[in-house]
Amino acid sequence: MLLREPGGTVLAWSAGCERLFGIPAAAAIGRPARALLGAAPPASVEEAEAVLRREGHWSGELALRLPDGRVRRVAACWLLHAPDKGAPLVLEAALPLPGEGRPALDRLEAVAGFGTWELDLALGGAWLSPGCRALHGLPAEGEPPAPRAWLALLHPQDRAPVLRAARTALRGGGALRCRFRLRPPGQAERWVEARGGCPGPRRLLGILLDITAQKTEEERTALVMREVGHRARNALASVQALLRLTRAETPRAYARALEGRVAALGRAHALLANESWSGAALRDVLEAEFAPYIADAPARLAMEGPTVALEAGTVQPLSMAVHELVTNAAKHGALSRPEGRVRLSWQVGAEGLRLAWLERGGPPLPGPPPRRGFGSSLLRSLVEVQLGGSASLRWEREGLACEILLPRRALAP
Amino acid sequence: MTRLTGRRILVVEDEALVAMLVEDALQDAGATIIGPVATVAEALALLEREMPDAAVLDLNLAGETSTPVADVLAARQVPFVVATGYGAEGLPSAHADVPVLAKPYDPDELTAALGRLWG
Repeated sequence: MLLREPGGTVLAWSAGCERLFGIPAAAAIGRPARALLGAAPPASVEEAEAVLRREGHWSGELALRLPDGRVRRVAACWLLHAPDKGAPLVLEAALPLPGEGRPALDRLEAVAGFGTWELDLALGGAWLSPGCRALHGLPAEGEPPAPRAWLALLHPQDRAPVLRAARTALRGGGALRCRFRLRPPGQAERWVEARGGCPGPRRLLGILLDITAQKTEEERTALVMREVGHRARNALASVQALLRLTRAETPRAYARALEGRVAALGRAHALLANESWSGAALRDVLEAEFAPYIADAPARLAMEGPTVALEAGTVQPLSMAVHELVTNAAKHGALSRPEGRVRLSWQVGAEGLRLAWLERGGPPLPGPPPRRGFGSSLLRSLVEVQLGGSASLRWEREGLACEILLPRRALAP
Repeated sequence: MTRLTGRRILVVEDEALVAMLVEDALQDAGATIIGPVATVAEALALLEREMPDAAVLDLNLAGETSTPVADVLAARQVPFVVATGYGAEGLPSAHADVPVLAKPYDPDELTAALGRLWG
């Protein structure tokens, strides 16, 4: 409620006015009412003033334009008080129309992180709430951006689809729901979703939600799905290669060799999955490969070395390489006898990881095998081609010795 | 079965097992293998010294795309086939005509695709 002179100067400004229009009494009193609460087109204040002078009162709906550019729709009632003695006064009462309870909504926007907006083609203007302005990177108060300036804040690819969605909603009077990218000046691009509808002809209003986090998550999920598909295809290609390349004397021996190798692949994938495909610890890789052979006699494996984190891409080839050494030891070497032992020791230096494998206590070795089997070819191929390292094997009489060198890039940084 | 007798074929593949399978299949078909190599840098270094008759190129090498290798091969007019674990997605449009094999593929498909490179 406000009191003013018929000429317009504000004499009193209620707490309700302060709340409704966001203008403190101190800033309002003494100023022309229409400078504070201008009439947005097509409302004509002149007409209302004429009725007020003629009949002593006027009531109706007004769209008031505030100094910061916002438009408030109110149901207004004006009364002219002309006492016999003293100056005449005008009392203006205004009630916010539904949806015009801004102060409460502004607080809600701030805590919930969304914005509201309104497009009124009849009034020829747009209005963005403080929350909506924040999403656009605009200062909390000020003129709303002109249509062209607003479009310029959108990702170029999203402009036409957004206009199309708005036109469709306006034409059909239906709901609006669209997602687009905003490029707030000086800020990172953000994804937003507009949801709204048409409460009347040529009016469109709704909310604007920041969905950047959701979009990022969706993109991450799509990437993970793509990666999982890629890994599955590669794992299948590896299994297919094993099927073709594994050689054995009997079908039974073939099946056993193949099962062992596929199981090693599987263990590597399980280790990686445990760590969200980020890598695995060297000790875990070694233990996983030995586990089936030393379950009842853990003392047969001695491990000595610092904690080493392996790069994700190293885990599968190294698991398979170690598997080849372990199965060979179980068939022909130290793990083929109860008293046999395997000692694994490693260091990390400037050139990378140096892993030494030493078998003792197995049957005496006559020397290198007459021809290189698939197992040792696979070991070399995994370590030298895939991991860019080197593998050297020495068939010492007391047992096999192997040294594997992996470059630094095979290790987690 | 396609014969590749006497052809010198560069193998660029970062999965050791797949590389071995490719090597095995190509050797069976009579080809000579150059490589295999597992990284873009190694492939480019090898191409400085060698002039293969054709190449088998994995699209994704330890997380990096092998497009630079494809560019050099195309510039030197070395025909090649591409293998990928990413389904139907292939190389950039500059290499749109290159045959693409989706992993896992039958090694016979590879030798057949290589055989077709010479018409």
